[in-house]
Order: sequence, then structure tokens, then C-alpha cells
Amino acid sequence: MSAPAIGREQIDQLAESGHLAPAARDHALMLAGVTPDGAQWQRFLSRLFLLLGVTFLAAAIGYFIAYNWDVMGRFAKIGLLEAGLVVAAAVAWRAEADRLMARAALLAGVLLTGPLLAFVGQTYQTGADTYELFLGWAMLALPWVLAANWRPVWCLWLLLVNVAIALYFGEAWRPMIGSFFAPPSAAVHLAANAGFLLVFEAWAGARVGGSGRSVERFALALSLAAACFLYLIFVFDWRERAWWQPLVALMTFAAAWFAYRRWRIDVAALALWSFGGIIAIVATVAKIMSAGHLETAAFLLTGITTIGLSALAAGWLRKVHREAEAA
Amino acid sequence: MTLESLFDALHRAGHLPSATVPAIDLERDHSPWYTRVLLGGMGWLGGMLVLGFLGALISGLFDSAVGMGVLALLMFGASVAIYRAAPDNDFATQFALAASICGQALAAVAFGKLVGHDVDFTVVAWFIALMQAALVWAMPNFLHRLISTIFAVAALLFATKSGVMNVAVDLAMALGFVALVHFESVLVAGGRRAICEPVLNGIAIGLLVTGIGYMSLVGGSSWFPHTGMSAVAFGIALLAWVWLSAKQLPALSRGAALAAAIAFVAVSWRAPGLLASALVLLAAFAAGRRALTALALVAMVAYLSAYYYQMSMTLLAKSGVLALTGAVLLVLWWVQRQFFSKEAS
Repeated sequence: MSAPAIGREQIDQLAESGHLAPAARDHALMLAGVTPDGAQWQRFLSRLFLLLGVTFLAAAIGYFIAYNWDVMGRFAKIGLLEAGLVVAAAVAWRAEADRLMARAALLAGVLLTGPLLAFVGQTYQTGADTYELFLGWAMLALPWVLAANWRPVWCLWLLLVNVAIALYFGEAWRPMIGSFFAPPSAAVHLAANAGFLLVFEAWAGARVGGSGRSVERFALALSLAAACFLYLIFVFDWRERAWWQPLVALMTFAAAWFAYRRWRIDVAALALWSFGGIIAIVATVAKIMSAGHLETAAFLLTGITTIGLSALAAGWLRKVHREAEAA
Repeated sequence: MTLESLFDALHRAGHLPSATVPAIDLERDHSPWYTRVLLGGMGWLGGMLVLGFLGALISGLFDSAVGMGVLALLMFGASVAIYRAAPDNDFATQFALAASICGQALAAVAFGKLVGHDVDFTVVAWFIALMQAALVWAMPNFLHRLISTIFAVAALLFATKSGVMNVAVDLAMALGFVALVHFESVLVAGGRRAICEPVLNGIAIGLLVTGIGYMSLVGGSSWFPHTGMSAVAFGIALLAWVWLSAKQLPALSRGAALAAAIAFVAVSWRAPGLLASALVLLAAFAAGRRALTALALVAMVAYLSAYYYQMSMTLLAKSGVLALTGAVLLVLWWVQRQFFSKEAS
């Protein structure tokens, strides 16, 4: 068995116990790869300047179009937007070898697609609802997203899809922001995010660039949140209650547990699972107690349940974390 | 890297007199950050529910300032005792956190009742800030200290929100963060890690959230009045951090780093939140704190999104500010790529 690797926690323990002086701690953190060296700093700054610069410029164009400045004609405005898209495509094409520059250009393409659609809608009075703008944005940005093949851009795309769904149910179905938490919208959010997660885990995840599992965890968080809302609607809202709501919620939680405990261990995903699960259990306890007119006891019991379950979850997550590290 | 290879490398670099590994049993059961978030959130919720239970159980509890004060002290005492008796037991420490949260709410309401309804709520906010500072010192637990630091920062900002003191708080908070980051190794080697680490993280989170307070969103006026002066305060802290961090670099790189920071501060003077999140982002990356780095990036993007809804500027003016900032960042990228990418390699 190989010796365990050293990280910040162990180096700090050595410094605390007097085995490392402050300068030795600094050097040890760099040797262990905790703090960045010169080359890592260069990479980080290069990414930061380029990606933030591109994002700020694309946002500037979007804000400019939204201002609807009448000094500038509509052809000049659409020219500005389309020139931005053409430049983004050309840079992405030309910078194929420089992956960072190509991805920054494709990110700009994704960001500029929205203002272009908004401008077309604003100028030609297409009568489109806001959700159609976001849906169109998500659809038209998909080729750019596929070309970028990069986790942050996939996260942005998933956000666009969810905003489109929320706006659809908020505007077209019921003109209230609360409609986001209604059974049909929660079910559509769940289906869209869970479907995306399934495809991403099974097919795309390993092929998409960028470190970490940000896309998978983002999609899972949205799926579990939607499942949790469905369950809470079943527990608290008798007018919109239906038998399929807890069933779908339970199936979602069961599938997530199987996926991230048995199939592919992901402790952060299990932490999300635990969070949603505790909320659902505490809500159930509160409902049962209040239905029995035991409000005072309900406060105590839900409090103890929250404290106990979170402590239990933390211990379990640490155990799984140890297992994952040992594997 | 293993312990043996680390000590060997440190010995060869002249940091240790010998490469012999000390006989020390290193703790490896470290909680990931998301476990702490789960515990913190649920501990707070549990505390509030216990408070609800006490309020429902003891008739007239919220009418008696003395009663609430005594109960709060009992809660704090119980928390300290539990933390000391069972520091590694999840159930016990979660009960201790919930009891303390309940005690904090009781103490704040008791103080408000004691000073009377005609007193401005800022007095209560000062009390909460001082109470949280005391709890950071008294409660021997990372999560409690982190939560207390965040609450203390929030209370302090609320207490000073309408006066020029707010800028002083911003400056103190940002420079305090820079000092903690810069002297972290000294503090850890001096046995102060248990306080330094949660306070550092708590102030960082406070800095990231502060930015939203400078935006005039709903109603047309911002929560904090001195946007420009607060931006100067965060800018000073950012420049101080760059100055301290670049001390070891060659003169040209040091000058370039400072010039880049000055250019960024100059174009961001209307956006204190951007400067505060940039400070946390760079300092967190330098310290190898990945979760905090990611949080700072998210805060920066969130600030950019919220900027759209700011009422005090027209969209045209905002567009100009963003275009200028974007252009400066792209120039920095080009300069860094052309002149400094070889130096590091």
C-alpha cells in the first residue's frame, strides 16, 4: 500500500505542532501542489483576463442593444451584433490550436446570440414572449456550445434552458412568479434536467473539456430541487396534490442514490441528495404533527429531526469521502 | 507527495535542519466543504425550530427581556460545554450549534427589548456584531466561528449602512482579509489556525456578498450610500494584496502586476462589488482555496448580472463601463501573453 498523500490539512497540522516554520509551511504548500507555482499563475491569469474580458465585452453589447439608442440606426445595430458573431466564429476557426482562445470566442458567440434575438424581436415586433427569446437563444446557441465542448459553456446553456422553462410557466401558463413552484413546471424542470444529466453522464461527460463535474452537479441540483418541490407540493398543497408527485420524487431520489453511491461515487452529489432528503423528511414530520394539532411538539420534533439527520448525513458523507479517497 | 518526500524536499531547500520525519499522527478525517455547508444550513434551521418550540412552550417568553437573556446565556454555556466535551461527535456539535443559534436570536431580541422600541435598529446591529465577535473567540468549533464571522460582518455593515463609517468598515474588512491571508502561515505556526481559518473564510464570504449592497436595484437607491469611496477602499486592499504578493517577483513583473491592478481598479471605480470579488478571487487562488476561488468567480458573474438591473445608471452608461473594463482585461491578457508567459516557465 502506498503512503498517503499530503495536503493542506496535514501541512497545517505539522506547522501547528511546531515541525514547520512559517516559511517552510509556505514552501510545503507549493511542493504539495496546494498553492500555485509560476506556471499555474500564468495559466490562471491568462484564462481570467481573456474569459472575463470577452464576457464583459459581450455583456456591453447586450446592454447597448437593450438601451435602444436611437442615434444609431437598426442596420448599424444588427451589423454590430452580426459582426460580433462573425468575428467570434472566425477567431474560433482560426484559433483551433489555441483551445482557450477558441473557447473564449465560442463563449462570446453564445452570449451574443441572445442580444441578436432580442434585437430582432424588438425591431420587427415579432410578438414573441420572453420565454421564446430564451428558448430560441438556447436552441441557436447549441451549435456554439457543442463546438466549445467545455463545461462552463454547458452550464450556461443549461441555465438558459431552465430560464426558458420558468418563463414559459411564469408568463404563458400563470402570470405569477410562484408558478415556478407549481406541479407542471416542477415536472418539466425535472424531466429536462434529469434527461440532460442522463445523456451527459452516459455519453458526453467524459468527452467534454474542463476539469471537475460542475455540469453534472448543476443538473443534479436542479433535478433534485424540482423533485423536492414536487414532494413538498404533495405534502402541503392539497389543491394541486396528485399521487404521481411523491412517486416521481421518490424515484428521482432513489435513482440519484443508486447513480452516485453505487455506480459512480460522487460525494458532492450525495451531499445535495442528503440536503433534499432532509428537507423532505422534516416537511413530512411537520405536516403530520401539525395535522394532529401538535404545533408546540412539531417545533421540537422537526428541530431534533433536522439536527439529527444532518449529523447523520455528515458522518455518512465523510465515510463515503474516505472510501472514495482510498479507491 | 508523501510525508517523507516532503520533508526531504524541505530539507534540501534549506527549510529544515534534517529530513527526518517527526513521529506525529496526522489527522486525515477532513470534512469536505459541502459537508460543512450542509451542517451549517441545517444547524441554523434546527436552531430556529428549537427557538420556535421554546417560544410556544414558555408562555410570555418573548415579553421578558431578562428571561430571554438568561435563557440565551444558558444556551451559550451549554454550547461551549458540548463543544469542549465532545468536539468530534457530529450529533453533539450539531446540537451545540443549534443551541447557540437559538441563544443568539434570544439575546438579540432581549437586547432590542431592553433598549426600547424607539431606538434605531442599528444599535441592535452593533450589539449583534459584538456578540458574534465574542462567540468567534469563545466557541471552539470551525463551523460556529465561520457562521459567527459571517453574521458579525453582516451586522457590522448593517449597523454602519447609512454613514461614512460604512467605508471604514469596508476598508477594515478588506485590509483585515489581506492581513490574514498574508500572515496565515505565521498564525498557523503560532497555533492560531482554529481561529484564523474560519475568520478568513467568513470575511471572504462577507466581501463577496457586500457588493450587492452597493447596487441601486429595487426602489432606485442603494443600500450602502458611498459607492465611490467604498470602491476606493476595496481598491486600496486589492493594491495592498498585489504589492505584498508580488514582493518576490522580478522588478518588471512586480511593476506590471501593480500597473495591471491599478488599471483594473481605475475602470471599476463605480463597481465596488467587482473589486471586492476580484480581491477574494486572487487571494483565494494564491492560497490554493479552490472552493473560495469558485465562489468568488460565481459572485463576480452574479454581480455582472445584477448590474443590469441597477437603477442609478442608464444602460448606455453601463454598456460603456463594461466595454471599457472588457477592453482593459483583453489588453492585460495580451500583454501578459506577449511579455510574461515565458518568464514563469
